[in-house]
Amino acid sequence: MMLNKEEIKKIIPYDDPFLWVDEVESITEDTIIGYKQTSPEDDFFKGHFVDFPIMPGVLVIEGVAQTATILLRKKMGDGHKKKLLLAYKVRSANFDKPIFPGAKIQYKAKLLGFYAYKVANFIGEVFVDGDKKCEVRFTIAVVDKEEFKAKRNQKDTKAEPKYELPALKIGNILAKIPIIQGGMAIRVSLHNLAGHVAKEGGIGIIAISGMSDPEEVKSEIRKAREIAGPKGVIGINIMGVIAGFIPLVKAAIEEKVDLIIQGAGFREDIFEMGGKANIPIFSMASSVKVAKKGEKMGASAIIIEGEDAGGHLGFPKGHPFRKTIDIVKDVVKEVKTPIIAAGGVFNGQDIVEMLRAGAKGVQMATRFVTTEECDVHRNFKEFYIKSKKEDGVIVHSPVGLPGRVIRNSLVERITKGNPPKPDPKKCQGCIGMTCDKSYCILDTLEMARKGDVENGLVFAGSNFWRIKEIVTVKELLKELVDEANKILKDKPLLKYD
Amino acid sequence: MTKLNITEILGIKYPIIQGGMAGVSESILVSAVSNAGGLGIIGSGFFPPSWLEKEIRKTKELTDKPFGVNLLMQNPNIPELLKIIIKEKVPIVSTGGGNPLPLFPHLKKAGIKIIPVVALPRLAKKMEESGADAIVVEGLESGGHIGKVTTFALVSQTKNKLKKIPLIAAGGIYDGRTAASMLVLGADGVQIGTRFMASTECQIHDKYKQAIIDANCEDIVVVARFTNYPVRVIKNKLAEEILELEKNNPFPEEINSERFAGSKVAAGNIENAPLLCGLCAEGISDIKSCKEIIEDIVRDTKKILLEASKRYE
Repeated sequence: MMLNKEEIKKIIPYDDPFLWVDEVESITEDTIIGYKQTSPEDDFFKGHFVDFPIMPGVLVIEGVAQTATILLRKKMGDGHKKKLLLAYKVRSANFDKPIFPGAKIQYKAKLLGFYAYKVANFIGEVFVDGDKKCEVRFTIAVVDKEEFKAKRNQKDTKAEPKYELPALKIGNILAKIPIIQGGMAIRVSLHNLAGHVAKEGGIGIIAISGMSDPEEVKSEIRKAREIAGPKGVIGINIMGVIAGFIPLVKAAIEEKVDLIIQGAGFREDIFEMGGKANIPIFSMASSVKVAKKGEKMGASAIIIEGEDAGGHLGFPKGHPFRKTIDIVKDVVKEVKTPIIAAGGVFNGQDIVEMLRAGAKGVQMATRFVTTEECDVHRNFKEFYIKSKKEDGVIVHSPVGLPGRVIRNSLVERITKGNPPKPDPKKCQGCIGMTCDKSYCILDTLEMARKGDVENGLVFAGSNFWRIKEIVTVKELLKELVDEANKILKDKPLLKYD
Repeated sequence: MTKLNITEILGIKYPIIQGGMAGVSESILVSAVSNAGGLGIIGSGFFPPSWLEKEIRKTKELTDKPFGVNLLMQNPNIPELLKIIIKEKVPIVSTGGGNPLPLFPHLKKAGIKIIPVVALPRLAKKMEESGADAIVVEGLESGGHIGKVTTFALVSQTKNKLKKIPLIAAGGIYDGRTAASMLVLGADGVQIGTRFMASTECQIHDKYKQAIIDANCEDIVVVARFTNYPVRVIKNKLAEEILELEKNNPFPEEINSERFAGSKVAAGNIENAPLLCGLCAEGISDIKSCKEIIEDIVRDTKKILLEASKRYE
């Protein structure tokens, strides 16, 4: 015997009179064998049936499913105590022969697939003395206890009108101000910016796309935490097309980052990595279709990014540009996952508009570039301030997406079809096969962030020209919150829950 | 822009393509088809890169005519397979089982012709707009993994959507009569699978070839619909088992789709291997060389089209 009844009770939250497995014989990577000894004296036999006692079929399914949860909890590791394992679906059940009082029931459960640590499919077989009695296919759902409780409480209370900017609560994340500072690669948003945003009550995001050393990721997160303090929320942002995706994400997970934002190339594997470590994944989407995909995969929030965002835009060839608010309005109709609005959000009024449209918060990046704390070169910040509205243009990026930038000598060369040719010897293969090699995105972004705003590529959101000065993160956040609160004081948010 | 001829684009004599069949179309079959004036295509399925490299080199030894490689987009080694194809200068690539668009820029840059295999007119149009050189529409009469639309419906409706690239019909074509019907419907060429399996050069086991010859329409079944990747096979013990399993509403995970990707029946284990086969099997009654198959089709197609046109004079 591998586990006795007492040991089983320590793993799964069941007890008499509803523990239907009292012995586990073996557990492998995806199978488990357990037993339940019945007795003719068992209560339920008296009523099932009065004149012909046999084991109720539903209890047989319960028994094999309870056995399956032992295997699942073993697989989930330490975090499993924070989760509820619930019956989600019985896909099919065949009861070939009855089980009589006194039988020792053998359960064999085989795990077919465990997706994003949220949904597990099993086949169960039930035997008595080697004779097959039942075959059942079922699905178990894994739910976070805290989230489940929070949702339950929420339904009991009606949403109160909000006269102030509400805090952003998603799963275990709590940010006083519902503003996520957008991750800006390459190395534009690092520990200093992210740390200060988090310190002031927003969510600070370190962009790790373009990094190649996992140690750099770890050290940035650590330094940001030092600035942000224990309550500060620090996340990372990474593009899906990055060649070193897995090691970089792993480093962030090891450093216990609070959330991971993933965009530019939908990755399914991120949800399993996040699920395993209990770190929420925020998916980027620019269409209802991708938003739904994120929800299906188990994203904790979906960031909807519209056409006014800076840098790479999620509208590849053949997909017309759309305003953020229009996409948000469409997405909230079809997606239950919390929505964050991004792209073109400039002031407090924009924030309130997005919340009224159904978003739970906003992501802003361009405005954070022109803060004292932003990790980019001063030339870059000043370039935003001195450039004019008509300098904002769209160029083709070798990633295969359009990019919103500020016009300079490099942009002229790109639009004329004469960009600096990439040097194959220096190519790090940063985005692997996705790259069309028309020019080097890594080099040009690095040049700009180091201060060469003529030969480097300067990403910027469409509202950059409205910025007049460089301020501190604290000043910027205060301005945004004050603007929003002034509006909400007269006209509160009615539907924010 | 003037419309290009499929034989000119691919550099072949007849507009007959042998479908890329994983585990079936390897160097010997492929080179035999290409040598006979058609286009042979290596089916790389879920095979590793080393296998493909070897087969390409062997094919080159056996023919100096153009040939192609079919890529199954679900293969996790696509980047490596692509590198080999480019390095070995394979002139033509056909694709199936997933979205091939990410490959397009790489194939274009290397000057390799792209022929995606699709099962919907809408996707055919999208492939043309994205730069495909020709398109195969494969109807549900075909063997192996199938779509939901018949060849009859696909060919005519796709023809109306394409602007300039040639259209190749696949699914259910095995002789002059079926090939002629496709040309009438609007196809510029045909792709043939099952008929080439019952050829002297095909390396599948003799018992598999015999099973194709013996099979009647009612012996051909579709299994694994519940996985969303239905497969057309000859009914045998394995197929019966799966059909039985399907009564219990199984999870898609209960069938490993890789198991169906290759059908080289080792040691003639005819009952327990998936015998991928098209609905045309009843029309196939003998094993011929690839040369005979192709020449018979070309001769009969011409004859049939000529006779048919006379009927309306």
